[in-house]
Amino acid sequence: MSRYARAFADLRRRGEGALVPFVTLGDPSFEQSKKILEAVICAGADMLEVGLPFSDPIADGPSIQAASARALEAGMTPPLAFELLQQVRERHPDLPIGLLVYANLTLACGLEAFYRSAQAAGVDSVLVADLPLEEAGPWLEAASQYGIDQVFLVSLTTDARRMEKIAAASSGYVYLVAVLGVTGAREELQQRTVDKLKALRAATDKPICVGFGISQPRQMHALLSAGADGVVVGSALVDRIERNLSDHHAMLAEVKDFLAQFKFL
Amino acid sequence: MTVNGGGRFGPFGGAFIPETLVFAVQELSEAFFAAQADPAFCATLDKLLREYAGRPTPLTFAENLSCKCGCRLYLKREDLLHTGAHKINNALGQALLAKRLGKRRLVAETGAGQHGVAVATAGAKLGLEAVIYMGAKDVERQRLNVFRMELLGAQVRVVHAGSQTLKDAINEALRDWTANVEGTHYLLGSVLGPHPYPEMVAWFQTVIGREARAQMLETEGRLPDAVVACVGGGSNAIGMFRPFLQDQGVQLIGVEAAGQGIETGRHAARFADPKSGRPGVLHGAFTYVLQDSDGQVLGTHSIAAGLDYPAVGPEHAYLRAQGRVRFTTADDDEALAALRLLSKREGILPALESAHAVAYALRLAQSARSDAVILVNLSGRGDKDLLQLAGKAGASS
Repeated sequence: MSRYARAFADLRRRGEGALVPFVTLGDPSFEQSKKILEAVICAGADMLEVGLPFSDPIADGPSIQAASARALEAGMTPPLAFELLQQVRERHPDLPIGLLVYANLTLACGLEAFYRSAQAAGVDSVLVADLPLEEAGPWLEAASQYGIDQVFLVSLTTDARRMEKIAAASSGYVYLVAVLGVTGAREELQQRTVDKLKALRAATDKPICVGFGISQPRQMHALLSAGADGVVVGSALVDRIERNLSDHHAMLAEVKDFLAQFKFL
Repeated sequence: MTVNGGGRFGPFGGAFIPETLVFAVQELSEAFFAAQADPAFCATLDKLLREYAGRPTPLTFAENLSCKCGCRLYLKREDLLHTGAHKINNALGQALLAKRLGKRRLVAETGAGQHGVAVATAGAKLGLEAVIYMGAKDVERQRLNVFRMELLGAQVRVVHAGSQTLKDAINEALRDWTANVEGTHYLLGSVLGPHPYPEMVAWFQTVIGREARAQMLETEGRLPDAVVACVGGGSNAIGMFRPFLQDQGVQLIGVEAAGQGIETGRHAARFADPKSGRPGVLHGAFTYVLQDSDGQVLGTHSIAAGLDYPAVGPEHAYLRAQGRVRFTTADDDEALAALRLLSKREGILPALESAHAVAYALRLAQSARSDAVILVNLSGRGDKDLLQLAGKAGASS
């Protein structure tokens, strides 16, 4: 049984949804990023979604773009990111860890080598932000060779037939993009997001995590009520990192306080 | 298979896009292929190109330069088009398509500003709102075009992220499109991006080569020995090359920007630098991309903002792999020298981009037979570069 399957089963038994914080690896530095990951786990993360910084993150809004730029500026590379993840894995053997990347980083490394490194670092799933299902053949092959789940996105513009195909191909969980647009904190949840979530819920038994634009505990609550198994909180969290770049202690405290509200509604 | 079927040039191309854009790209594909087969659409576009944009453009025999170099040099005068470059061919085509799709808003990127001006113009003519993203560095060196776009009623949004050039403007335009995908058409200006863009933009630009081929036959009674075009994303080059692809006797040559020299790393030559120029994915297509060993996209440099981009159209990557198109480079200094020479000897001020093609054609002429015929695509005029050139002259005097 995979870490995802076990974690989602445990949460379901407890009547909870998964809190999935997203941060960019190496933001603002290797060491501080490691402390942030610990703080995030300590604050109640049920699983992690972490991003490999890329120079041209077209699916990301200003918060995560800036986080990528900071991480690259501080010298983060894919091999260092895998090293960081391995250290997290050693301390948290059961925590599901998902890796978010852009296609070019996997191609530059070589797909086989990339998934091999991911496996060695203890990564459970890979989501390639700019890889639609139709292009994914070689990635799916490498993922299955190394026992890694390949997560695919469903968006508000995905029609019913395509949604079924994506849900069938996605493993670990299915990721529903909650907004029309790029990542970035929003205050409100749109009705069409809830409608799409219900349609996806009806189409698959796989766990569903919803992300993009989630910044409030009440959004998480509404999504869980509508059938989501988990919620990814990214930009709102990354904003807390950016706000405290000059005070690393305050940064960790604010990150913890922010996430704790989601877990203890 | 891509999200919309086909869309590959050998291994290159495809549609590497976030899921939110998939439906828009599918919708666009269907609309484009339907429009292509619709005589009414083609007639409307043809009328606009003739009566509004100024097609056909002339073929000019560059007599004075030909005397100097010994062979016969011809220029395809896309610089004479409305708005000053070949970009209007594609902008009008896609804007018409956007109307057909019921979209009210256009977003676009621009580097040199020529595509932005073309989109602003098409928007004004066809009654569509236009939002143009432009890197801060390009805004600085192309101020006149910014002013011009605003006069035409477009909104120019300055991009401060990353290298602050064309690459970053495309990132922002893609983000805008993702957020407003239901009512907005992304009017991409080159043979880049996800399918169907490389095919669609090439189709709208092929009018260049079709006219030029017929004009050569009429004027010289034969096809040229070589056809030369500059390659940033590569839309003027594809438009010129496509009608000559079956003519095996015609050498096709693409000229990339060598900037301050390949060895300095400050260039935009994807094919000429095997260390950094490798196949990868940027802005939705699998093609040659200037990148570091981790896959981070590198900053580029060229004196010509329109060539200052780290990836090249996937069809060029394919034609190069097939051996059908040969690629070479010209650097900043060669382009400047060619610009000055063409201005002084022929009374034609070329865009800095097009000057790269002229520079190589002059080099080629040195080694060519004396009866050789060389055709250069003069893709744009240099008016937009005057401030930059004046700045250079000021700095050196």
